[in-house]
Amino acid sequence: MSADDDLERILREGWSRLPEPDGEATRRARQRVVAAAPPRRRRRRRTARVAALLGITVLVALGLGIGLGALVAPSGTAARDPVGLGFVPRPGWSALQSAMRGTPDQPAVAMVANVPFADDDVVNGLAEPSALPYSTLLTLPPRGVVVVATFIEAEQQPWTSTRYPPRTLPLRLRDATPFIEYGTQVRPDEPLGQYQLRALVNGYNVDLVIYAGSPRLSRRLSAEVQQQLDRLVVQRARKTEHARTNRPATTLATSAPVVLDRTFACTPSLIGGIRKIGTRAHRGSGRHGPTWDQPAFAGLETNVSGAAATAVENELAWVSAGRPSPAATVVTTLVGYTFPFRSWGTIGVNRARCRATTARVSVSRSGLDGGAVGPIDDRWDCASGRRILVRIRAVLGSAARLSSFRSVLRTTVPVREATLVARTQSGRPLVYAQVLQSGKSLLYTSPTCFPD
Amino acid sequence: MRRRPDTELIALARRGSTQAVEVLFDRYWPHAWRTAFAVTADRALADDAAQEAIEKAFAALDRFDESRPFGPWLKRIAVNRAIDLLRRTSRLDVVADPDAAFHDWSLAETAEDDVRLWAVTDAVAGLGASKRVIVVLHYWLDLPLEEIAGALGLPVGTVASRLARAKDELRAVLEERHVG
Repeated sequence: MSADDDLERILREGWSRLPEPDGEATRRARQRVVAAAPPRRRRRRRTARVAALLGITVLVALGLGIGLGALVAPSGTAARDPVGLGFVPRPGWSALQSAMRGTPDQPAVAMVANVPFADDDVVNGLAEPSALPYSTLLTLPPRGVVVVATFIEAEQQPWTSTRYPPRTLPLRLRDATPFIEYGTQVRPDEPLGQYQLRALVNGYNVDLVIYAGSPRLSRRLSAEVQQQLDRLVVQRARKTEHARTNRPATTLATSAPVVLDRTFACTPSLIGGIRKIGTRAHRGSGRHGPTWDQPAFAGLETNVSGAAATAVENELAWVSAGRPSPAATVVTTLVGYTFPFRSWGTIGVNRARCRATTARVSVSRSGLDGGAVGPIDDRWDCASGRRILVRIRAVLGSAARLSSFRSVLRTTVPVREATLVARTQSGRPLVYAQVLQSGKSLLYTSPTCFPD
Repeated sequence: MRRRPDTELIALARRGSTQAVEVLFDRYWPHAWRTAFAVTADRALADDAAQEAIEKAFAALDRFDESRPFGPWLKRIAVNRAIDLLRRTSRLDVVADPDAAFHDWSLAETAEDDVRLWAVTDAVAGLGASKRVIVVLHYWLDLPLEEIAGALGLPVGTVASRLARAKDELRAVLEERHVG
């Protein structure tokens, strides 16, 4: 046998060494595949009816919406490609957005569902612009839900002002009607539950349609839909020329949640030949209305500085949730130095040790152990390798950006909820932490980490 | 139900049998995941790629040609999804990736075979995606060079030369570690 044959034989054996998928990934995939399984149905009989309904709906939309919109909408003044319109999906849900303009003839569309979207409803990774995910709806299982939101700048639809009552986020499912105005039953053979909710939010006419796989939403499913509506993001509409000349600026001043999502490559320090990170988290304590003496917190740290005056430099990244009191501090030192959240940031990243990256980090706690933590820091140490990837995803109370402040990149805007995920460069998950403005804090770490 | 052949399960799944879908899933999910993991060398990417692949496969059951075996069809979808994800994350052209690893961190190493196979998978992982993917597709997933070239959008000659270079590197690494 030649050396080449030997090498190939050994190489082929490597396949047997690959690990199995972990339980969480398997459970998630299984759930999604089963949920998307085609229900027992008589498809052919329905096809003609669906095609007819689709045609009618498109004609009605064209006649009422687009035609009228095109006549009335001012041309050339709308903001192009609205951003910040859509859903932050709950775990296990799928979300899509369109790249439309938010005008009457090109409404921006966002969709979210607890089942995978059918291929036909996804165009180049974006939501199908008709806002009718028909293929997904036709096969929606009894416990499936699809929420479709369309957004049109209210400035461009002055004739609809009475039909879109001003509301604030989060929108409430209880305000929805159990029917769709001008709508038809999408699936007459196995009727869907169809609900509609209209609202004027941050300068947008928002039209929400909720489709359920059963005629009525169960209590549990209603709660899940509400949790998803809590994650609807409607960034303030950009003011058009029309708005600047005809409306006081204060009409658009309502604050809207903003999603911040960044990934960093961070370098832990080398101590005694070992690179490791620490992680700590605690729940919020000392609540006074919306303010916390110590907000829910989760962070990653490494050993850089032994001096109390620069103790914050040991922090690689942190997230907090809720409004911190002026005295709330990111790091507590024995000799009384404080690093207030209000200066050092509700979210912070070490500028010296972390740099932005486009690497992909899943927001998942798959393969990690842990749960809710108490008000005293829960601390763990994890061997890390020379570099780790850290992803921060947060929903903030208002528009924000990360800016430099001494040794950190930070924002001081209060956070509604945030997730901090760390993994090695090779993909081994290390830490998953989540903080909520309710004060709750979760911490999950790799089984290879050990308590500090 | 669990003993039924794929063709029967597929027919039942098309008619809406959830149980058939579950059996098919249990039968093929581990293979789809390991295929995705072999290509990506990254658990998180493998989770995503395998999930997308198996969802896509089940969504397309209506169009599946029953005269062909289900496993290889799913494997090709998983390979394509994994390559797409690597490409999307700009990791397909990485020439050296010392942090990549295939082995399971929780495994205890006791037998000589384990150490040998660990060294082999480590050596393959360390090649860097541009060569590793070709080695994995050819030796682990048994794809011919022409098909690999099609999947990666490369000329067959380039695939062949990368494979030859990869083998030279692997031979050197394994000799250095006294594996053979």
